[in-house]
Amino acid sequence: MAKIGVFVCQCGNNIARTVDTAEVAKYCSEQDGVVHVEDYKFMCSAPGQEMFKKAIKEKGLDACIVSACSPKMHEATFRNAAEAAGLNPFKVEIANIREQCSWVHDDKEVGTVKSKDLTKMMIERIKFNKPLERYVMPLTKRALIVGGGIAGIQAALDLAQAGVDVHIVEREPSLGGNMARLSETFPTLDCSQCIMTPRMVEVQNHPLITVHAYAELEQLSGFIGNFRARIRQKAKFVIDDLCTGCGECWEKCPFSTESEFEMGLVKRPIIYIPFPQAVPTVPVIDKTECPKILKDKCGLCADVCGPDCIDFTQQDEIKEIDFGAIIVATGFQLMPNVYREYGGWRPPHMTPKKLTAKMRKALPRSDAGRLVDVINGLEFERLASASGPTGGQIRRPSDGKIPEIVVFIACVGSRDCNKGVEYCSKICCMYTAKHTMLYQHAVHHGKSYVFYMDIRAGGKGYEEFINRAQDEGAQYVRGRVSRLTKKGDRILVKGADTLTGQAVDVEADMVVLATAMVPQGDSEQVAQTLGIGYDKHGFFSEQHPKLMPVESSTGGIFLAGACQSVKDIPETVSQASATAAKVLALFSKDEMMRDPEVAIVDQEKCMNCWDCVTVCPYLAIERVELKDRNGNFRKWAAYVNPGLCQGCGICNTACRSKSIELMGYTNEQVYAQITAFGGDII
Amino acid sequence: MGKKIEIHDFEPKIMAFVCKWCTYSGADLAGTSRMDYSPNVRMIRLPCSGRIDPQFMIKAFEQGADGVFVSGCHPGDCHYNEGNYYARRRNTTFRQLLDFNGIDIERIEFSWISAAEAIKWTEVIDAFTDKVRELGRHPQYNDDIVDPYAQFLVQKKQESA
Amino acid sequence: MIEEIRNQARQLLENGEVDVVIGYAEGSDPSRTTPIFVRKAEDVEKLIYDSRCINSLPIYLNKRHEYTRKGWKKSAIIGKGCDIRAIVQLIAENQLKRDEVYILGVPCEGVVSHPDKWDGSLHDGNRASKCTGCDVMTPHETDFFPGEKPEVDRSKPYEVTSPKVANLMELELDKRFAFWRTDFDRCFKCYACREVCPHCSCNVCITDETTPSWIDPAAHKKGIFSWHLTRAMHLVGRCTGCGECTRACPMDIQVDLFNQRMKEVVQESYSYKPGYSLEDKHPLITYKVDDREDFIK
Ligand SMILES: Cc1cc2nc3c(=O)[nH]c(=O)nc-3n(C[C@H](O)[C@H](O)[C@H](O)COP(=O)(O)OP(=O)(O)OC[C@H]3O[C@@H](n4cnc5c(N)ncnc54)[C@H](O)[C@@H]3O)c2cc1C
Ligand code: SF4
Ligand code: SF4
Ligand code: SF4
Ligand code: SF4
Ligand code: SF4
Repeated sequence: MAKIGVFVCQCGNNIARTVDTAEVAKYCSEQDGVVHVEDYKFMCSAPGQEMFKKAIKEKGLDACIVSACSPKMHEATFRNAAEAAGLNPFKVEIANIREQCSWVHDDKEVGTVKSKDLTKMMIERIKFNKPLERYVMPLTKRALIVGGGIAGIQAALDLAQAGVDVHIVEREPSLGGNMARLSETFPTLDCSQCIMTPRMVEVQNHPLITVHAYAELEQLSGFIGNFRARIRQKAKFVIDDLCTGCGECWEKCPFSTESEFEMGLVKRPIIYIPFPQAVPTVPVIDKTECPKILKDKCGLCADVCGPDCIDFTQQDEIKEIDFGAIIVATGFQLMPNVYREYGGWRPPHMTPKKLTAKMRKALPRSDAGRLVDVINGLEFERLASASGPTGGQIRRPSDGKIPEIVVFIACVGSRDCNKGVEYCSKICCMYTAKHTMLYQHAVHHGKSYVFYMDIRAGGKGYEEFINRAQDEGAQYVRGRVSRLTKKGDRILVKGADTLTGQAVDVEADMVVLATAMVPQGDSEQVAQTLGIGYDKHGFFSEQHPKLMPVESSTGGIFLAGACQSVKDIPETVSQASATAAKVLALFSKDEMMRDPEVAIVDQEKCMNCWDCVTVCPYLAIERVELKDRNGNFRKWAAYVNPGLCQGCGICNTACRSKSIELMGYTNEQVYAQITAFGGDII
Repeated sequence: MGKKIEIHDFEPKIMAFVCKWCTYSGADLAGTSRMDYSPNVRMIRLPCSGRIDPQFMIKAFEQGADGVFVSGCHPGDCHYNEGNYYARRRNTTFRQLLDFNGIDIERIEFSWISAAEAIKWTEVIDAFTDKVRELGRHPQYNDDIVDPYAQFLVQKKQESA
Repeated sequence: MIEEIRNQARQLLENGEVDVVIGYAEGSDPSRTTPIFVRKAEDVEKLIYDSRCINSLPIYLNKRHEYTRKGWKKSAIIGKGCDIRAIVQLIAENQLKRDEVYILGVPCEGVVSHPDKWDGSLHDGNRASKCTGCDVMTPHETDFFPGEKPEVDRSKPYEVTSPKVANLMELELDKRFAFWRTDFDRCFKCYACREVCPHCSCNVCITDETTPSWIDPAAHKKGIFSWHLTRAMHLVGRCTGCGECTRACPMDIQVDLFNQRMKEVVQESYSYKPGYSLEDKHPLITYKVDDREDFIK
């Protein structure tokens, strides 16, 4: 027989004014299993809690109901008090007779009857409450960061500075990501390389950070606190430990191909580092292009390498490493191929074609019927960058001429349900303004036009920045461009000014498109490898749009930077630091404590239909094989990983045979509550 | 202060299954804001509208509820992201099933109520209670029910008369 | 047609590809056929197929019949289209593996609604209601099919399968309730409707649960309503419409009307037809963000 204690709180006069608490207590004392009742002025006060604990100990209560305010207020208070008195905290329930009764019903008799009923429902329910123990799980205090752009770099440094062992997996030969491509950054116009490279070096030198450059995450298993990652280190054909980064090899390499980092504006050698400030400074050999690897011709780099670190036989290497938490920072790309709309032009880097001039002074680009002087934002960044192919002189790709008239087109592919993406890429207004300024600074007599839909400059110092761009000479035209055509060696931009209602035609030397920011092309695969959710565009989904914006849908995996949504650098960095804080919080204890209100499967009953596996939003349910005593396969069954389960109970509803139960909200508990409300039915 | 509760000849029993993140909090807010609403409703707090099993609703009807109220977070706001979408499908089909069985689906109300929508909570509950009162006792159990609470309300009315 | 099936069955048994061929044989009287488990190649001559073959055989593939199939690794089964729907659904629900079954598809012209109605031929007066509007008379998923298999467009929604459902839907609410109330008065919870259903494959049915006891074990109307609502709800988007539940009911309760109605609902609301794809997930464990919610306040 249960020994239940019921504690009715008067909440000063808050409850007692419209509920006869003494009457409720009396009614409860008559219920089956209730051995102790109290009717007290302030249950949550120190003396109230003392009384609660004393009753538990002296009367040997095995379950308690507190009829008081909302469980949101004091469920934790009384559960802790019970624990202190030696009663399992999950054997305490709250009947909410304040928010749901005394405060909303003025009639004392009605209030009293309803309070009795609410308490009675809880009394019946608690008879089925099981004592629950929190789960203790091991925890590997090592973090994995996927993607070494500014987001990954920031998170790595924050974590390492707090003493956490960090690994970065970056698929390119160098850290840096897109930010390394930028020339100067809004809204302050400071040089991107100057603020970025010191951080990259810091990452390289930090004893707690391991960089796996030119590597990819191939598989992830396990769960929060206990992940295991399979990392594929792609063959660099260069021995990391020996290479000094002297540069002999890439200086001497006689072959070349288009540079990805420079957006195909110039060429790079086959053995290369993507850009001079690369971290690590170890080159890699592009095996798809190297004649030595393809047909055993050349091998010059091996000859010139002093420390003898070129190894043409190197193979990919698989490393298995355990982690406790993962930060995903795989960034973005610019939308490929948007611009067919403007006359068959495609971004040059998407259609590699042979360039005429030599690398490093590779401009101009040959025409071949395309509008090669139509470029995207990142290409413009390279042209404007002091370390770029033109040394910071803005020259157009076709003939290397300094453009006198430049047209910038905003919202290319963004906010365009038909041809592009629905969302606003958010940073284009700002970088377009930046580009006009960079252009005006470089070409004083030049003229720049910006075709835009709306200006969205909602950031600190952003609106001021736009105003500055306009003051410095950029002419803003509100309207869209309908077509770009070739006219002599210029481009005819046909647009409209919707404010004046007039057609605007500009003959430009160069056109810069503010192309939409979209997720990496392989983001869906990455999400599947990691087991996290993604939206219809391929951006990774946060667990809650407002309250959990840096957590992914899977426990222990966090999201930083432009892989989650379009972001500028300040936002990227803030989010990266936020993920670091989350990881530190997770790592602050030696073991993980998990809430016991999770689902549990009755594996004998389970018919392995996997409906629960399908519905679980947290991928917490696994398919396991049950074995008999001799280790032979017996049956399949579902298993809930308590490390991942968040206690939503969706699986519980999905399971027809009720083989899966959510602890704390079991069918029996709810059933008892329903039946108690039903009263006596023959 | 609020209105005096009017007691009718028939007072319906309303069982509410609500999610603890949105609707339960919305109802709490109604309390903290001292709003008035019909006392007929008894709430069962569940983690998510996705945990609301049609089995519970069947049971509630079987146990003599005259109306069943189901509520959770608005689409897109589910604490667990997807729970309310499953709840929506379950209820779409369950209602049609009851309808085919000849049970008036006006006796089930489904509503999205956020933690801020205390007013919506009171309005929806009041309207639903009135509607079910209008519909009368759930016919399925017409003969079978002994309901101390409803009896009490009726008795109270007679006394005051 | 049956000759080709028999030959194929013989071959399968002879070269040991399957352990058993599940099919139909002549029954106790000329209007009946009976399920048969053929284990020896010489017995394939017993196999028949025509409009009297109303039993739904996939029930024997269900896990609950593991004891019947003890030790048999792979079964061949004669399947008319609607039965193959059940097989596909079993596979989709992980109750059967595709390579554990060899489907001998048969072209079907419809089956009789009840053996007692058999008068030597099939006509509108005795055709099973599930055959109206059937789009799998040429079965969809087969390993063997006698002759050329014509292409059939199965993208169309079901036609309203049963005029009975339509008639019931036209009744007023309380009339409909009264209809079921009188029907349910006869139900005595023998659960034959569950036993015979290929998709009621739970190891422990909710009716046998005691923690808590979902379905009141007392022979009371309440429990009976609960049982039927529960059963229908559990089969939403999963019932493949074999009609065996109604046929099995000793009290002549047309329980499959519930399932037929739900089939329509699922079709209207989610454009979903169960039993057509091996990968399908039924509509209650999937969702779309813009699902209908016209009833939600
Ligand atoms: C034209 C242009 C101008 C801009 N100008 C400014 C500006 O002036 N000011 C400003 O604040 N912001 C600016 N931005 C925005 C800024 O570039 C981004 O906010 C920032 O780069 C986002 O950083 P990230 O680390 O999230 O992503 P990224 O920089 O894209 O880094 C992602 C990294 O992850 C790696 N990676 C991707 N997938 C994988 C994988 N599967 N495995 C391993 N590694 C992977 C990539 O190689 C890359 O190194 C500009 C953007 C553009 C397009
Ligand atoms: S839904 Fe139920 S029966 Fe199906 S796999 Fe999950 S626990 Fe097992
Ligand atoms: S309770 Fe929710 S999170 Fe836990 S296993 Fe079930 S569906 Fe997954
Ligand atoms: S009625 Fe439901 S619980 Fe019972 S066997 Fe069928 S599906 Fe399973
Ligand atoms: S519910 Fe009836 S008609 Fe549907 S599959 Fe089961 S037995 Fe066949
Ligand atoms: S077979 Fe008929 S009598 Fe038996 S439980 Fe089903 S409906 Fe009731």
